[in-house]
Amino acid sequence: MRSRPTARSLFWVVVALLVASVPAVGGPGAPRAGGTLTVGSLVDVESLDAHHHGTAHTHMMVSQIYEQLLDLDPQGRYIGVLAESWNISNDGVTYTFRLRKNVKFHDGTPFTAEAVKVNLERVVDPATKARYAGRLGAMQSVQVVDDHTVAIRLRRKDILFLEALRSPAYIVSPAALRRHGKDYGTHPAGTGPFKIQSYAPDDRLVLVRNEDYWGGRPPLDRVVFRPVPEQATRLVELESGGVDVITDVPHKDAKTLEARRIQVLVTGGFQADYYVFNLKRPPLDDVRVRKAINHAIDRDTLTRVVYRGYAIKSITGYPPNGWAINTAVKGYDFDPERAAQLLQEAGWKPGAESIREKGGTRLRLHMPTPSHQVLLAQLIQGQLRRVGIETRLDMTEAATYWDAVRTGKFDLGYWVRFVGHAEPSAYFNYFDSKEHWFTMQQPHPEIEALLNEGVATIDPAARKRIYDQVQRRIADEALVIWITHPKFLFALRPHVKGVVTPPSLRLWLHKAWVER
Amino acid sequence: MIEHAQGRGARPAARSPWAVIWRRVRQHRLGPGSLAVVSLVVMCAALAPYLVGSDPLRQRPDMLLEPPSRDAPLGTDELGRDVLSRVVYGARYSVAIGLVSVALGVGVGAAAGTVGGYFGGRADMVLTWTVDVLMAFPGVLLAILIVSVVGSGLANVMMAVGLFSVPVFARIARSSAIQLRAQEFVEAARALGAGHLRVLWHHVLRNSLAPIVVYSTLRVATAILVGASLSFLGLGVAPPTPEWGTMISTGREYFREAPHVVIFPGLAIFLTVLSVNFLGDILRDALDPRLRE
Amino acid sequence: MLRYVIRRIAVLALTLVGVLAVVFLSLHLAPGDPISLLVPTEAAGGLTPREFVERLRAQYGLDRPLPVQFVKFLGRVARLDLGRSMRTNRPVAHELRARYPATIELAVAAMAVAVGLAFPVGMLSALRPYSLLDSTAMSVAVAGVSLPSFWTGFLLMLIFAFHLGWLPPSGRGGPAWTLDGLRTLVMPAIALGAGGAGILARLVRSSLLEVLGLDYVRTARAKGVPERRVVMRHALRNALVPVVTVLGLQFGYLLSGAVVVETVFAWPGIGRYMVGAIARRDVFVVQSSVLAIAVTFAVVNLAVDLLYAALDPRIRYD
Repeated sequence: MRSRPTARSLFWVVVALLVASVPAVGGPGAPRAGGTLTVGSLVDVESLDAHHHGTAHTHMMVSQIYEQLLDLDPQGRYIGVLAESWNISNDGVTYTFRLRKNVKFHDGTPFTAEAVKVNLERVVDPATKARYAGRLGAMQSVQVVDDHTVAIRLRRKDILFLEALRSPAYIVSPAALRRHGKDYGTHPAGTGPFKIQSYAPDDRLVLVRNEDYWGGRPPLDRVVFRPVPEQATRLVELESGGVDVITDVPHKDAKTLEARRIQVLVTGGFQADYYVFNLKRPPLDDVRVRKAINHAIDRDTLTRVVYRGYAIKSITGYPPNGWAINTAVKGYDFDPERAAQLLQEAGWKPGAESIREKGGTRLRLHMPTPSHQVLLAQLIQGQLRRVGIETRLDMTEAATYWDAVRTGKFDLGYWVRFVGHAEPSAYFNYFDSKEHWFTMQQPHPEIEALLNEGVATIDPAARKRIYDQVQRRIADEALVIWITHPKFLFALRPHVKGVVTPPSLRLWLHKAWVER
Repeated sequence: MIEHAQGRGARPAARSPWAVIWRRVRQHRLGPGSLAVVSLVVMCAALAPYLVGSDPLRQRPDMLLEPPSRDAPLGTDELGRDVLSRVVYGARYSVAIGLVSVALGVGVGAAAGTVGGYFGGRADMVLTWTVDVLMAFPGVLLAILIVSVVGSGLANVMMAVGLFSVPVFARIARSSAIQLRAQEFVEAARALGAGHLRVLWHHVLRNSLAPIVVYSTLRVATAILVGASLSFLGLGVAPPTPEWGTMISTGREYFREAPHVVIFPGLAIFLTVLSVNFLGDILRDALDPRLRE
Repeated sequence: MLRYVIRRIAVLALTLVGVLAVVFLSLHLAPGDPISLLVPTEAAGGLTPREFVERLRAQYGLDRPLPVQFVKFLGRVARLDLGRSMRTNRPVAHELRARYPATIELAVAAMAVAVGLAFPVGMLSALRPYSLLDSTAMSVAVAGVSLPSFWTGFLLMLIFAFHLGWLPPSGRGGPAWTLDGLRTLVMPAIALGAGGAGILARLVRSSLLEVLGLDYVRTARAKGVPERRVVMRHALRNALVPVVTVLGLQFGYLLSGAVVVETVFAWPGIGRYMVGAIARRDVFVVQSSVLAIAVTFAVVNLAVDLLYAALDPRIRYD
């Protein structure tokens, strides 16, 4: 059903050196048609206007209704969805897509090259206020070649262009756009396996089977998404049968759920949890202090206590199972003695209450912490305390916290990066001072130059060398405290079958069914 | 209340208010118990380091979420910290939130209300409008907004909960002041040449003291609960501070595997608020002449 | 009477301008940039350049001076245009309409729980003052006031949904008049109403006690009017006066207390929506939700004051 990529993009097969196991639940027994699947989600869908949302959870929900030209399969390869195949010109700036035929939107109108043009132009039109539009910045023009061929020209080479097409560029019915204008979001019409039946904000999103789905009639009659923000409530809902699937399973509960015959799907590891240093603030401008802090952190304990083993220890900031990992970089082991020694060398001597001091100043660091990462922050606080570093945890609501880290009101700032695949630039582009979420505070021209080179280079081997250097530089200068690559967990009641969860945090339900 | 005010103004009390209150506390079925709980909480707050040996912040990654045992009588939490020690130290923060925020509410509210009610005119109009605006935010809404602006943390929570109490006390003080302004003894004092400040202090404010005292006590209970609600919404006192609401808030994820992590701080809040409420009731009965036998 | 109502509405309008100013200023003084919160931090698709973010900011008019933004907002409210949510791009009026019934339903149900518990308990206590029954009842009432509502909520959920499986744990099954709706309403209404029940029960008791001590009640008793009739016909009506005033205030507390309970029970109401919107600094949404709650609160209080007059013949509004 999903087709093979063309020669030019075969490089992406390298990308596929990623995931060992595909988390899919099936087991014996043929799919059984009928029934409703209810999913308890952390948050509500932000908007049903495909071009108007931002979070991974919303993607998970709206991608039942809408599709893009291409997507990532569970192995992390690009596969055609509404595009059957594509071709990248030799100069790397023209992308030609051959589109799937006989695809209809939910409103009955046919899917054509014109629809692709209308949609891509709508995404970058400032009036749409699409939040992802910045990512299609390289796009210059969209040209309809024939009914089922579309050619896109870029201003410059951009290795991330396919990714941008995957992420913000859902294709919606141009007829519905014309009819409903600004309020299109309340009358969604896509090409996906499910179409909308009703939506009550914060309550439930009810989808029904798209009988004419080009990929085959989905077995489920109905899919319901219910936002259940409170973690404890979401678990009770799952265990009491109120919902069949939940997202965002707390790592600590996975084992308990499995003991109760609940299926836990472990995906990803294609994200990163870490702390950035404010490189502008002393004493963090001293590489010895940064190295000492890196040595003071016991990542094994963090992985065990906070993530309960559902995370991979991070050495270079890039997932060790991705193709661009630099295995020569060894990172910083847990070595409190070395940490103490480094601090001593940097002039920080033990003072009152065994907190280190230098010239009468206590070694005290400010750590703003979002409320959902309090456990991690407290453990780190305890570990740093043992080498004589005092930290002030400032638990703040998310808005304040993001702002503090973005504008440099911190010493150690927790940061999370959800990527969902192995593209290395996505793990490091926060070092780019042009980025809105540039967190390092002190631009690092060499790394920035490497990153720019990385997205303009097509040859995978050359790219690997570039990102090897990026990882090496960050480690040598101890610019970041890499912590872990956490995994994302879904939980399903025993009767739910055929759900596929690619690492990109989607939920493929078009082959799912429920056994009764 | 008016009769009471006149009564005090007219003659020295036959029995000191303290004696009345003390008798009431002893007579009430739950009075001694409530007093004992409140005393215990205040003692914990004052003497925490002498009562429990273990450090409430000390993490033991080898002892996570242990049930109560001889080592840790109330068990350990998600970071292996001693729950008993945290509950005992936690008294400090709840007591602080309760007392400081109400003191702030009474201070600002009573002063503004008394002045507005006593002088009337434009000052009173501005006051009434401000109070109306603040009162138009029902319940904890205002506190939530304030914390969003100033950020979370102990001092800010106290301020937010305090501001949340200001309009209530302003109203009480204002209506007392208006009633008293017209009273003969106030007019007499003015006629005898007493300055406004003196009249305000000696007559008006002191006479509206009874309802304010009673209401403050009850408000301490509310303040502790509002503080806990803010913590629940992630807007309260930051961990690792062992504030009870924060303990429940961060511990609620472990409710099913280790209920003691939330049950004990929950009980601490419940018993404290309950006792303060009982004492408030007793105080009201003692100071409110309409209910005197 | 009509003049009184008109005056109240005028005062209300003035108050609401103040409310809007407070909300507006709070959100703009609060740290946290609404536009930053809109642009994805998920790194999947490459950079989000600074210029792009600034363009978005200008599009939402958030680069204008504060007074200009505020006046524009007031102008829109006056035309009954609440704007669009930055997050969802849907009209805020639309968003509120979807959630308002749920919040009102919860507050009314909680009020019903509170009143339904408070009156019998308060009356029993007042009829046997200082008895064991009285102090037990009042202790339970105080206990109700002293419980944090999220605590009660989780407890109820664990018992009735998780262990006994009698009720669905969370969500809203439908409007209250459907069985599914009713089943999901029970626990949140109790969790929210317990506190109000405690306060009201104590008030019913004290106010009934006071009235029962008055001359006309004694006279009625002396005349041999049956006790039942004395209490129901003579005393209760007068005792209701202070209780009704507090009912209005209580309704406000229920509206705002719903914030916490709605979160615990995944109840799709305005409180939860508003707290989320504050967290996301979705300015128009917060302003409009606060406005909706404040107006409801004010209307209820006005209704209470009118009811007050109907109950107590001594009070006349002119």
